[in-house]
This record gives sequence, C-alpha cells and structure tokens, in this order.
Amino acid sequence: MDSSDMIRARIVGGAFDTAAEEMSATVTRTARSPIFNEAHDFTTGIFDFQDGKARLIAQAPGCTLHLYAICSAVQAALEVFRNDLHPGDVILASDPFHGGTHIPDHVVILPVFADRKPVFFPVVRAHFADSGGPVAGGYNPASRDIWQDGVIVPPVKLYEKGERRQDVFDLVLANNRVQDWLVGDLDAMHGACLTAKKNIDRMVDRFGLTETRDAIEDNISYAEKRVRAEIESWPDGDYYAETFIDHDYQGAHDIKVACTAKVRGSDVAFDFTGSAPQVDGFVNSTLANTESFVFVAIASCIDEDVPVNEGYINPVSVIAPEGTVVNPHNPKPVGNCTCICGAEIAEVALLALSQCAPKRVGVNCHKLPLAYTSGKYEDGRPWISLNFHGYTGGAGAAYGTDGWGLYPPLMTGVILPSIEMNEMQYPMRIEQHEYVCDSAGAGRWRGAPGVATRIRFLSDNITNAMLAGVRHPTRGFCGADDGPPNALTLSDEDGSTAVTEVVYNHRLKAGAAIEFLRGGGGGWGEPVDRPVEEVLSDIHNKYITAEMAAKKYGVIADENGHAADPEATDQKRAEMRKEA
Amino acid sequence: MTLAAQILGNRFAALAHEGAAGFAAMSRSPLVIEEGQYACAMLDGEGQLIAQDQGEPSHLAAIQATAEYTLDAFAFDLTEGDVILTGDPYCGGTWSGVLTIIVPVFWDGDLKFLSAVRFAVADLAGNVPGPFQPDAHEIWQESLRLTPVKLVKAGAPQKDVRNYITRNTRATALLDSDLTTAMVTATRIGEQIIGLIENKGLDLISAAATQRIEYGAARAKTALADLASGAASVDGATVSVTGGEQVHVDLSQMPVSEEDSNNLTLAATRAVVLVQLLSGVIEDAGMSQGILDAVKVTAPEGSTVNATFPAALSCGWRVVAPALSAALAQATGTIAAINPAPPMVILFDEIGSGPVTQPIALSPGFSTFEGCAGPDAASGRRRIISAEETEAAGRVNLWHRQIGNDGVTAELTVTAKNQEAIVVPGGLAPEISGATVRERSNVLTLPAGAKITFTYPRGDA
Repeated sequence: MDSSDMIRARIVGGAFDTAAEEMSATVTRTARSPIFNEAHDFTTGIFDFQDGKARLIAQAPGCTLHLYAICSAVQAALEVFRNDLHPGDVILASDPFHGGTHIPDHVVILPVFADRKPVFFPVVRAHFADSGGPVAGGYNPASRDIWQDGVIVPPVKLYEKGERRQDVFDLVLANNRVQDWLVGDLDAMHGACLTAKKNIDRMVDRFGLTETRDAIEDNISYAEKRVRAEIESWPDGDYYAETFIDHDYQGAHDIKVACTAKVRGSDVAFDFTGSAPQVDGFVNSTLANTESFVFVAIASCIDEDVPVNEGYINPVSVIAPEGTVVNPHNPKPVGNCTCICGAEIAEVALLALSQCAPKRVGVNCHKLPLAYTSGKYEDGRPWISLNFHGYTGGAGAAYGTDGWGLYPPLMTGVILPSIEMNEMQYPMRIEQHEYVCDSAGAGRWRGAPGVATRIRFLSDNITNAMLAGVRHPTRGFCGADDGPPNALTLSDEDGSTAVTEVVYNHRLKAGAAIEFLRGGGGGWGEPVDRPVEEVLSDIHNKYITAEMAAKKYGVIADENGHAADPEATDQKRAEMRKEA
Repeated sequence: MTLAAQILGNRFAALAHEGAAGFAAMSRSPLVIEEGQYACAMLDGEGQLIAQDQGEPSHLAAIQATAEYTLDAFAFDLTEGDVILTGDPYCGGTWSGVLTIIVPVFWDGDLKFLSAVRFAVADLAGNVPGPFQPDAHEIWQESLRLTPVKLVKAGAPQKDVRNYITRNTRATALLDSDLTTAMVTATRIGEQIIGLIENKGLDLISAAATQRIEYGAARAKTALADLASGAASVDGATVSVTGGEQVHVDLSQMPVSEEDSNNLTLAATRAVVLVQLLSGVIEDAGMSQGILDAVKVTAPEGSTVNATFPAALSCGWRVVAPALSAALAQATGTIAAINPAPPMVILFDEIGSGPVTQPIALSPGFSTFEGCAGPDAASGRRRIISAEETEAAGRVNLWHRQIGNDGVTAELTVTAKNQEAIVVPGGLAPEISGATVRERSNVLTLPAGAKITFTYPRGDA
C-alpha cells in the first residue's frame, strides 16, 4: 500500500466510521425506549457482502456485547434475502439459533445499492424493551425452551421497495407489550440506516465504488495487521482456564465453562471443549453469543485505536462443541445468555489469556444481580424497567488501572441512565445508589467498589429477579482477589426477603423495594504490591476500612487513611509475602 | 325465497360443509381431528356471513367477526391472489392459537365474497405446549399473536411471513401443513364461488346470498318468538334475557375479567348465546348473518364475557362458557347446551427436550345424559378416540374405559419417558398418580407408569 492508498483508506474508513457514529447518534436522539436513548443498549455498523459473507466495514462505539453478534445476525439475514433485495427494503431479525444471541436483541438492516447491486448494509442492533412471550421484559427465569424466552423473529422484511408492509409491522408490534416505544424505536433504527445510506451514497459518488471498495480492503487489512501484531507478541502455547456459572435457575449448579486459548503465531483459537453440556435453564449461550463474548475479551486486549472491522475478527476463531452450554441445540433457552453465561465466557477467555498476555487482560465484570420490573401507568399503558442502576459498579481492574466505578457492566458499554429521567419515566424512586465500603476485590490494582442501590416502587408491579455471581463471583487476575458476591433483597410491608437464586413473577405492592448489592470488581496483581499511598487513599475515600487495608494489603494505617506505620506495614507485608 | 335462491342457498351451505369436511380430513392437528376445532364459511364482500359449517360451536360468531376486522385492517388494500391469516382473539377471535385463513373473491375487479377456514393449531409458542395456558394473565403469555397478515400477496407467497409464523411453534410440521391445507381449502371454495358466478351470474348469486341471510333471520325470529324472558345468576351476577322483536341478552353485570385465562371474547360469548338459544335453527337452517344478528348481546368491556386487551383467554371456553350457558338456560327455562367441560390433560415431551413437541390432548371419554346416546351439543364433532389411536403415539396406554350408571371412567398409563403435562381447568380434574409439580409453574412431571384417571359424571337431562 503506498502512502496515497493509505491516506485514501483512512479517509474512506473515517467516513464509514463517521457514518456509523451518525447512525448511533440518530438512534439515541430519536428512539423512544429508555433502553435505547438512555442506556444505549445498541450498536450500529456498516457491512458489505462478498463471496457469500457479510463483512463488517465500520462500527460505532456502542454496547460491546453487540459488536460481534451483529456480524452473525447480518450474515444469517442476508443468507435468507441475498437474492431478493431491492432498494428500500428493510429487514428485521432476531433468531437466537440463526445468528442471534438472545431474543430481545434485534437487528434492522437496510441494503444500499451501488451500480444496481446491493453493496453496503447499514445495520442497527438493539435490545428491545420487550419481546412478547411469557414474561414482560424478555428475561424469563422459568424458561426451558426458546419459545418460553419470547417471540422469535426470523428475518422478515418490514419495508419492501420503500413501502412499509403495514401488516407485518402490525404483527411485530402486536407481539410486544410496549408498542408505543417499539414504534418509535423501529423508526429510529430505520432512520439511522437511511442516514447512513445518504452518507454512503455521497461517499460512493465522491470516490467511486471501486476506489471505495479498495479503501475498505486496505482498512480491513490494516486492522488485521494490528490485531495480528498484538497476538504475535504473545508466546505460542495452549492456555487453559475454567470458570463456573452459579446455576441455571432450574436446579443445575456450578456449570463449567472451560476454555483453552491456543496461540499460534498471529492466530488465536478459543477452544471451549470441556465445557458443561447444555442445561435446562436459560443460561445457555448461542454460538453467536459465545463468539461475541470472546470478542469482548479480545477487545479488551487490543489497542483501542485499531479500527473495529472484519480484520479485527479474522485472526480469532472459536471452537464451541455442539450441545454444550456454549453452543446449545435448538430449542434450549438462551434468554439470559448476554449476561450469564456471556460473563463467564469473557471471564474464562481472559483468564486463559492472562497466562500469556497478563498485562493485556482485565476489566472483568458482567455477573449481574438482575431484576426487572413491569407494571402499568395510571392510564393503563404498560411499562417495563430493566432497573439498570442496580447493575452498576463492579468493574474489574486491569494492569495499570483500578476498576472504574459506577458504570454499568463495563464490558457492554451500556450507559448509566440518569436517576431523574428514570424517576420521570417509571413510577419509582431510587433511594440509594452508593459505593459499599470493603467491597472491592483487592489487588495491585483493585476492582471498583460494589454499589448498593435501593429502588422503591410507587405502584404495584411484577418483578423477576435472577441472581448470579454469588457462588462464583467475578474473578481477579494475576494473584488478585476475586470481587465479593452480589446480593438481592425484596422488601415490602411484610419484611425483607433475600433472593437466593431466582424470584419468578413476584407481585410487589406499591411501596415495596428492590435492594441490589452489586459486588465489587476483581483486582489485578498481588494486593501487597499496591503502593501504600494508594491504599491510604482508598481508606481516606472510604472504599476500604483500615482493618481491610491491614488484612488484604498489609498496610497498617489510621482509620482515616491519613498516615501509615511504615515499619509495621513492612513487617506485615513481609509476613504476607512469606505466607503466599 | 325463490326456488333458485333456495337451491343456491343450499349450494352455499354445501360449499361451507365441503370446505370444513375437506379441511378436517386433511388436517394434521389433533385439535382439529379429535376435538373438532375447525370451521369453514362463505361471506359477502362486506363480511356478512352467508353460510358456515363448524366442527364445534365456539366458532359460530368468530369467523364473521374476524372477517370484519380483517376487512377493516386492509381497507382498500386487497387484491386478487391475496390470502390473509388472522389468529388473534382481539381481532374478532375467541382464544389464542385459533387461526382464520381468508381468501377474497373478486369479480370484475371488485371484492364480492370471502371464503374462510378457521382452525385450532397444536401449538403456537406460549408458555406451555398446546393451546391452554392456565397460568397466563395476559395474551402474550398464551401464544404468538397473529394480527391480520398476508400469507400470499397478489399470488406471491410471503415466505418471510410464513417463516415467522412457523418458527414460533413447537409443532412446525403440523402448523405448516395445516396452513397449506387451510389455504388450499379457502382458495378452492373461492374458485367454486367464482364458478357459481360464471354459471349463474353475479346478480343471482348476490340475491341468493341476501335471501339466505334473510331466511336465517326469519327462522331465528320464529324460534325466539316464544322464548321466555327471565333472569338467572352466574358467578353472583345477574344474567337477563328479554324476548320480543329482537331478543336481548344482558350480561352487563358480569364481573370484571379475571387475572387468569378464564375469560371470553365477545365473539366467544356470542357463540355461547347462539348455541344456547338457537342451536336448533342453526342445525336446521345453517349458520348465517341473519342468525348472528337475531340476538342482541350486551356485555360490558373488561368483563369475563367481553375481555379487553390484553387479558388472557385460553381457558375461558372451558370455564366461563358452561356457567354462562347454564345461567341462560335457567333464565329461559331451557336445558343448558354447553355442559361442564370434559376433564382434559395436555401431555407433551419434556419442555426443551427437542426442537419438535407435539402436545396431545387427553380426554378419553364424554359425559352421558339421560336419553342421550352421545355427548352434548357443544361437543360438536368431537370424537372419542379409539384405544388404538390413543396408544398410537406411543406415549400412553388406555387400560380401561367403562360406561356405568354414574358416568364414564377411563384410565391411562403414561408409557413414554420424559413426559410432562398440564391439567386444563374446567370440568372435573383427573386424578394423576406419581406426578410432581415443577417449581415456578403448573407443569407436572410424569414418570413412565404414572396413572391418569378421568371421570365423566353423568349429566342432568
């Protein structure tokens, strides 16, 4: 590639990235559901389709767990319609066993034509607030098959040659409890794709189709080189790790997720052979979800300036034996896979990589104390709240940085909705949302502290609660402590009930509350290596107590963290190192 | 009525009967074959019912109401070659999982008639396999909702729509097959209507249709002329029937819809009223708009007899319909046409155990009545399945079925492994030995060897 090619590639690549980002902004500004416009539980990207394969060209920063999943979903949809596409068509799809993850995550795809052929495909992938089925909100902890997860949407055209298929549109709306939101959200997704189409048309007009495609190839090649360079810096070998899912909500416990990262030159394969067989409950992970969470793990190991496109993915492969919890057969339920066992998949991939690229791994956090609530406004309209605030905190540490606090599951890029907006949108009050002292996994770099959240409801509702990360909390890396476990409590006039595993369709009266305790993040590195001044700072900020500082870090300090006793600290740390 | 109109009127009825019989013969759904849950109808271009044949009475008002809803939904967007599917209780239907295929019939470019086939499917997703969802309190828990959608558009199959529907069932092959059968049946009826028009002319056909409707109205009026006015109580609410020029059934005191699935749509309630007050006329003269319109039904929105969206509905016909029928019988001094539902168990493979689950409805008997040779009128063409057929699926053995002085008893043993079941509300609950209830559900786990005993008590004459 000569310098002019490189410049052109970056200009075109940048233009595609900008188009994807404008799509993202369009969705944020125009969608109706708070899950879109507040929490940003979506991602946007642009694809092409070559030799029967949908290829990611550009992607806007967004909810990370959608990043790879969007690829397989687009591939599956285009396989259905590849010979039946027209300008103005819009495809909607969400089928977990045909490129999808869990049912709430839908893709909207719009083909963009150049030279009379469908060449580019702007895509929005987003989490719908509801997807029909037995339980409002899309997470059914009693689910034992895919139909109990919700209504499946195999690829279907919402628009044909620019004209809305009103009957199909109505059909999709009818199978959703929050139709008011969905109408706006679908329009927002469609609008974002149309915005991208304008930008793509302009780009093709300006550079020409051939030159644009050449530039795309260069960009993909560049991303691949960067990722391969990173992988090449890791020593060849097989690196095995295993972790466990607490339970499947149907009676199975300690479900193993095993992974061997096989590094060979500039390629890495993640082999999940040895993982537990598929389970009855809804924690199974579709292949697309497994690949997506491997990608989440990989993404945390790669420099963030590397363009996210097909080249990013090419050096990485996933082996997931069929019939296991990481690649179940249809119709096993998968409704919770973007939390559990997605969290464990990313965790075990990072644990494996921590053996060959320790300074690249971290930021492990996704085991959530999940609880969501549905009810009706006074005018009878339904509302569904995913209670995002309860999931915040608990980010793991990475080499060079403590876990960041208060963002929701950091790996997913979901944004914390404002409390004021939440209280306007839902009949609820968020009474507590604060760090919990002594709740961070200790390490040279510590995890983020855990967060306690209490949400009190102003009207009767139905709540489903699913606890995870208790028997097997978020893991730390390279000698650090794991994060403390999560906890959930439902409290009403009859008292408080601690959720042990799951609460199904529980009726909460007005005045009742859910209390979330999001455990803290795991650390990175030996706690005794943490500089004394940083431990003092943690005491001073009330992240930890002086007792915890002594116990975990070997730092003997006053209760306010103003000063440490150097001699006592040295002695204590020496003892701890000896014991270790 | 002219002789020609009489002949053509009977021809319309024959078309509906032919469609219903043909569909039932080709259908693969056990609910159609065994329970008689199907119907076929001919309607005019305004959605007025000209003729209808049904396997059981819950469909009496639903095809017409669904056709009317569907016409409104598509307004001026119907064309030759369209095939429309509607399968939602809140689009003129009765409960989830009962689908209606409608084919518009055009003549000289104008919509003149509709042919329709209505049938119950073995499964349409929902919380548990099969049509009954006792735990449901809202419609989305019961099944996929199928608002009016074109399966074929101007002759072009809408494959993606069909995939959408067949992906949301645990019994894909059954549904796919029954959709094809219903489409073929409705299309065939449509072609026969065209043939009639070609042969006799549109004016004569239209006039005959009108006269058939008027004849139905006259017969209903005559039948209702001597109906006694009266009132009775159902679930603590007063139901009143007022005779006169137009009979008025007032259900305005019925309670608000339940937080369960024991609710009726207005179409289902009207079916109860029709079968209670006019079953003789329907049997003799055949169903038509004239009969549908003969009784005014007042049912408050949001009540158990006119549930409002999104209330659940799947068990209403088995639970509410017999109570309403009994109250209407008491109010009018007649005998209840709809008796307590027969005990029923839906048996299915363990949920999640395979990509295909074919739920089977177990109810191997019927209630006997003094002076009657078979089940009540409301059972329609419901069949009592032979022991061999019952056992053919390889999931149960029928050990015993006996008619005695107190009624019928039957005993089944589960032979297959990994079977689960629900007991459908309504009627006398069967006794089940060896079953355990799964946590967080009403699903029973049945080990091989579990015994199910059905009792069908002898009914009042």
